Amino acid sequence: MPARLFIILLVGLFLFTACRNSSKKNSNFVFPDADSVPVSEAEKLSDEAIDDIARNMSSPVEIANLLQRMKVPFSAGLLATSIDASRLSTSFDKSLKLGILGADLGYLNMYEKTGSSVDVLSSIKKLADGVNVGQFFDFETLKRLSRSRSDLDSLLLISQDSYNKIDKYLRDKGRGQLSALMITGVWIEGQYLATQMIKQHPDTLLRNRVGEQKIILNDLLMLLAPYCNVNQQFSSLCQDMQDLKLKYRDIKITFTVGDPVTVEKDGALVVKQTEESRVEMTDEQLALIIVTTNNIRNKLISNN
Amino acid sequence: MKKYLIITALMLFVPMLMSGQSSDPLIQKCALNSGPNSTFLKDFRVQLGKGNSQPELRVRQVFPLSKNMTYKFTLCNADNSQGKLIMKLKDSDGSLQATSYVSGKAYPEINFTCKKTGTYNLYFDFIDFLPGSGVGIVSLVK
Repeated sequence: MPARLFIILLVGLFLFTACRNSSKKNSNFVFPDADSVPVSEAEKLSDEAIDDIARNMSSPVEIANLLQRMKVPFSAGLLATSIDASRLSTSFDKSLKLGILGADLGYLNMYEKTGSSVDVLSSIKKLADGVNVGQFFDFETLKRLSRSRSDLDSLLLISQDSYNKIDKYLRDKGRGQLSALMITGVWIEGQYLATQMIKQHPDTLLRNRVGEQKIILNDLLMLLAPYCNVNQQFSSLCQDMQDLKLKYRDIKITFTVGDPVTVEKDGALVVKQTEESRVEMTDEQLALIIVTTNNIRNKLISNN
Repeated sequence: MKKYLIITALMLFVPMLMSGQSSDPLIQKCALNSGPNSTFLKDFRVQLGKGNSQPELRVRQVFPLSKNMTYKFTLCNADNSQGKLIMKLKDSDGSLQATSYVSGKAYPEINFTCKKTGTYNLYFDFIDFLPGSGVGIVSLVK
């Protein structure tokens, strides 16, 4: 009798796991894959245009990388530590702060402050659960990697991958407004870190990076535009971002043309662009951007 | 009886716990093999059936690149992939900036030093439009 029960359970288990993972385990190709948009479809669908804009946001680790290259020391005082994830009630707040803390997590990880990132991870987990995307956040693995400090590459990979998956899932499920908020949060926090650092480290690289955000900000506003009249919170956020756009209005970005130079090195291709973008921004313009960014970011994190 | 139930419980829960820990193994493998001096930014999973010959690679994705940053594009193929993954990088004007397929040779890696901030288009496909499964990883060179 026990043996018979065991066989029944085993068959049940087999069927359960076989069905659950059928799409992953199938060796046949699935076309089109949800993450792969054939060219012809991408051109004609407006949703795809929105996808394009959403993907066109730089990762927060790029800003952290730039700061490291400039040998700017880590500054814990810049982190959004005042965010209390358990006090947030609306999806708007949760998604926006999910983005802000995601940028902080990237900053912490890049500077290998992995011990401190455990607290941020706990808040991120609460927020992700709050908007029903916690399943994409491998909290236990991230916490283990953070505590062990042994495998930074895996930590960065899984952190980034979790955010990529959440973003994609939200857009696929028609919750684009939450994805837009998360992306806005990531961007504003990256912009805040860069503009605060530039006050103490007025490096040309960082200055140009802040100026170039004119391009990204325009895209971000396009992403937010469909939701600006959804409620008061969205309306206020859009107004603030429009205000920042105004500060960028007279900054000029020019381009010089040239063909890329390609060489082969150690079995890989090494390509260097000769075409170049240049930013023309005065100190006054930069100062206004710093102040406006600071005001927006502090308003967002104080609104618990 | 107890022994059977314990074995069944283990078989049931261990795969469930493991499945929650990792994403696509090909992405993990490819990202972690892209070198010690690079930081993962984004993966582009590409799975395609056989296609007809056409002027452009079939899968387009957009990605922002920033001036004075060096990006590494790593291309990996699934073990059962018939075709070999290739890519092209074009700027927003459609001008070709880099390609992994040069004179009939497919390179698994491109290091691209960006001098012009903007939106770029990444095009992926498999050589000769064969069916295939692979992933393109974008990482930031430290």
